[in-house]
Amino acid sequence: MIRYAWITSRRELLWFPAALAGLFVVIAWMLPHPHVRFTIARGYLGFFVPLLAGISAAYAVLDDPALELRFSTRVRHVSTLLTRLGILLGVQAACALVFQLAAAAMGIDLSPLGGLAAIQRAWLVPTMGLAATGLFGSLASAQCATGAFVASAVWLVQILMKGWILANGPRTYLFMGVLEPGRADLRASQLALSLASVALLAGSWWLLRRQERYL
Amino acid sequence: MSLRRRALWIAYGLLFVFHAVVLFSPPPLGEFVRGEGIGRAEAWSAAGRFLAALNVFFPLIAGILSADRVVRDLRLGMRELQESTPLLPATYVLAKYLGVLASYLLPLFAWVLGVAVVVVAIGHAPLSFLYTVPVAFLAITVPAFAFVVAFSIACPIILPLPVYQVLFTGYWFWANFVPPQLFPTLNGTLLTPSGMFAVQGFFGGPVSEAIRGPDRYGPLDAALNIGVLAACAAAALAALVAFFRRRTRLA
Repeated sequence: MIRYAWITSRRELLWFPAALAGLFVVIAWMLPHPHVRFTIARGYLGFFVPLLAGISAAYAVLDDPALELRFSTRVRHVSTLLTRLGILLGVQAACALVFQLAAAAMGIDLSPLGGLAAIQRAWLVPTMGLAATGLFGSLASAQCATGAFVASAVWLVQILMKGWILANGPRTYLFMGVLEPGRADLRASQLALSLASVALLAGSWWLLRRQERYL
Repeated sequence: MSLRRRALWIAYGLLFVFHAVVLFSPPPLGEFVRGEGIGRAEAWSAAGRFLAALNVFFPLIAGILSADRVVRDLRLGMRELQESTPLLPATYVLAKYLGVLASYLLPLFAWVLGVAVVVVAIGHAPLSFLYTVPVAFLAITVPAFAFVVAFSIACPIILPLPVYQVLFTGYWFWANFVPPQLFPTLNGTLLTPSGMFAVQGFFGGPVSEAIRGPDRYGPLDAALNIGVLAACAAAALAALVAFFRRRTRLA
């Protein structure tokens, strides 16, 4: 199942996250100032990994030329959903981890984001959130482009309206782990966002049950 | 056909509701303060600011949704059918471009006009707002959309669609909203499609906090900005025409 999903996945799923991680490593390596290096590393982990996951997730299930054939087999829709999303998130996680190793080798200090677990939560929570949003958007509208737009719009709104969101609904702020790591309600926000991601994934699973919508 | 896409109406609908709430709700949710209307002298700058605010998200929708328009023709085999007709590549590209551009501009224009009519009808703005808004739409919204749509229909020919959409979203934030003092960016150069040049040069809007230079942009800067954006859009379309000519020749 996983092998089939891997073989039929788009190749850019592999090369583009790796290329983006490599680009950010090169940029961080070229800039000598420690604060700028930290900003670059935080920008990649906190903003670009989630954006990439969100848009890729919008294409994860529906952008398959053999979708009708796949629906006619006995493969359960939950397997389709989990394998496609799992591969996508696995690639993103591998790139993020390799990037952190490269950052450590270059002497970039990510400790302002917290301990090792806090650093992982800082990129993993928004990545899961945007991936679930992109996937749900594409399945709800039966169009990949809508899911991609919804994920992009949520990303941009969250960046541009940081002050407003932190004042009116801080627990819905995706980038608190990278931009406000010292806030007291960080753990509560990450828990709320993780639950919201699970809810969106459950919604995606429910939507995918009605396969005739996507034929 | 682009106008009939469900994705377009869902995305536009969400943003129409968002902007309507911001425009017509009292603080802290929105900006509507009863009794504090737009004065006759402020009609131009208010129209400029209004359209510039719409330029934050709407071109992003246009860029992401128009990215699959040409790729879709190739994937579904429509292009082969079209190549068997006397349709010239330049005609195809221009028709596709104008059709897609119009489909993303028309609903927005109708909504913007509707808002202007409502604002004037409730006495919150002078009657002149009814013509300053369409002029601002022409100077601020149309160049941004023309620039974005040209690249969005051309670039996915060489880049996979999701890759282009990721890069475009990152580009839109980087080139329009990252202050030049913070990081090297296109923001503040003549390649900025946010409409900031037109707001300041044509409509006397406030200087962006992101640009802390001694001068504000004048009408000449604004005209140059529109000219540069138009030239870039034309270059992207010319490259697309060249691609289809080569493809036809090799077929």
